[in-house]
Amino acid sequence: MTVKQTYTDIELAQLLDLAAEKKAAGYRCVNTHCVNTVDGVDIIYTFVVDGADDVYENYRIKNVPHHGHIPSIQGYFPGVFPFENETQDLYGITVDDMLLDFHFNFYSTDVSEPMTVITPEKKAAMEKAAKIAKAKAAKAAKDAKAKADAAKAAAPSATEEKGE
Amino acid sequence: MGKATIIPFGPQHPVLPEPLHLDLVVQDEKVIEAVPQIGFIHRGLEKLTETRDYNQFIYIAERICGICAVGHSLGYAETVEGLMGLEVPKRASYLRVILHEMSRIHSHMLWMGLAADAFGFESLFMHCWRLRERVLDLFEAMTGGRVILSAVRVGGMVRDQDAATLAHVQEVLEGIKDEYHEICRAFLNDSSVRSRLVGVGVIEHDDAVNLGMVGPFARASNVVNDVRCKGAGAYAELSDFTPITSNDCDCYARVEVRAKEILQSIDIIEEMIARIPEGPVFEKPKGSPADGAMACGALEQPRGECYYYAQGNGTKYLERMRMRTPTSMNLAGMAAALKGCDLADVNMIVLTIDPCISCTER
Repeated sequence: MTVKQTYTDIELAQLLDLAAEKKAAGYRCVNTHCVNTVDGVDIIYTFVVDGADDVYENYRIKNVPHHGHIPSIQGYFPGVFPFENETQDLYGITVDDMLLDFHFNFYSTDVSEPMTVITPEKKAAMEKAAKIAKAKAAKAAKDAKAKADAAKAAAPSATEEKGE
Repeated sequence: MGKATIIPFGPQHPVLPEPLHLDLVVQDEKVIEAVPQIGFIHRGLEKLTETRDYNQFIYIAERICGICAVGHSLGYAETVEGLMGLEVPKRASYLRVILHEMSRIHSHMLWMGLAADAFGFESLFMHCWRLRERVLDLFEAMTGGRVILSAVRVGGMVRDQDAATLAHVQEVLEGIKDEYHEICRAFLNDSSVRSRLVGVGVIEHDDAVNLGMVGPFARASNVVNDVRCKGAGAYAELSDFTPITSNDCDCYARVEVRAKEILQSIDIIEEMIARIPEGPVFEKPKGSPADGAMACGALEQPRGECYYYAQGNGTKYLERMRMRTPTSMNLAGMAAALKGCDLADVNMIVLTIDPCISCTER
């Protein structure tokens, strides 16, 4: 079921302070996960405090570089160890200072960092979406130009008015 | 004081239906530390959102786990509906809750059977699974499937259920209830069962909160954490819902919570059947999730809170689908419960978190 939810972008440097703040306020860390992007990896942390008004607060760190480093929050929320190890194995992001670190051996996968691999299907879909977006933008620009030309043609020019 | 030895437990072990490995550091038959490891059956299902559109992916979602198939298809569908701003017909919400609660009954009965098997009470194991078969028969009558139901889709349900079928469900569940009371009596009062469970694998309330435990495992340590309390979907229509908790914090409490939850689920289903409104069960989704749109959802699976996240990219394929399952949140709690226990109790403690590794690894 969909739940009350918020989304906030934060900087990587704010992560540990945020974790400490949430821990002190009685929150639990529901989940951490990554989204692969062209520019890097977005990492999303979700916290909720049970009881009050049950809002799932999602905090996103955008564009952590591929093969970059992030700090571990296991010191505050020990239950997140599977997700942090998953981040290492599937996305190639190194999580520093983990209490329980499987050193990139948590999941056995044939391909390293499989979630960062752009499959041919995904590439084709991205190219198609880019083409559609480009065509839409070109059409919008053409329509806007045609509209401006029509408006220009409809309005009598200042020189014509003077001539009359 | 003896020398510390590391004893490997699993990944193949008679008590484990799925592969989970533990490194047990043992000294004088006492476990002083347990390090869990999974990763043997990672299937990369989340990656498949790239090759299956949002309507097709529901069939992948329900194959994450055979026991929570209904829950995963439901959690996925509700999250995508949230992403697209889709309102589901009320009758579909009721039918979803009915199937989801039936799924909880069969999951808990399966687990109780496994627990009985683990402590050597074979006849109790057989009775639990015999009753569970009747729930699977109901699934078959309603959807044609016994494990993978394919009953839920984005926008509602695949098919409606007529009044006669719902009356049959109610009748069968009433019959199950009577027999189940007998099984419960053995589980909760039998001295041989109590001797294996009482005072074993204790996790105090504060530790359960600190470790972020969810589901019956947490509720047995008196943590009031049940997504059904949030009253979303047809759960909002329930006249009353109070999560079942226990103060005992041990393996016995975990059995007690699950045993009582079966009866609670039967009551929920009966209330849903009595109040189900007429109307359509499907609203066709239009368009695709918007580029950059994000939505999250949560669902109380039989093993606890399951978190779902979906992100759109303007096409019919999702940019990202994430499923965080309850077992992954309970692994740290399990390791903590194992600390200080007798080596002979390890299998009971591992089992009482009701681990579902195929869900966890996806």
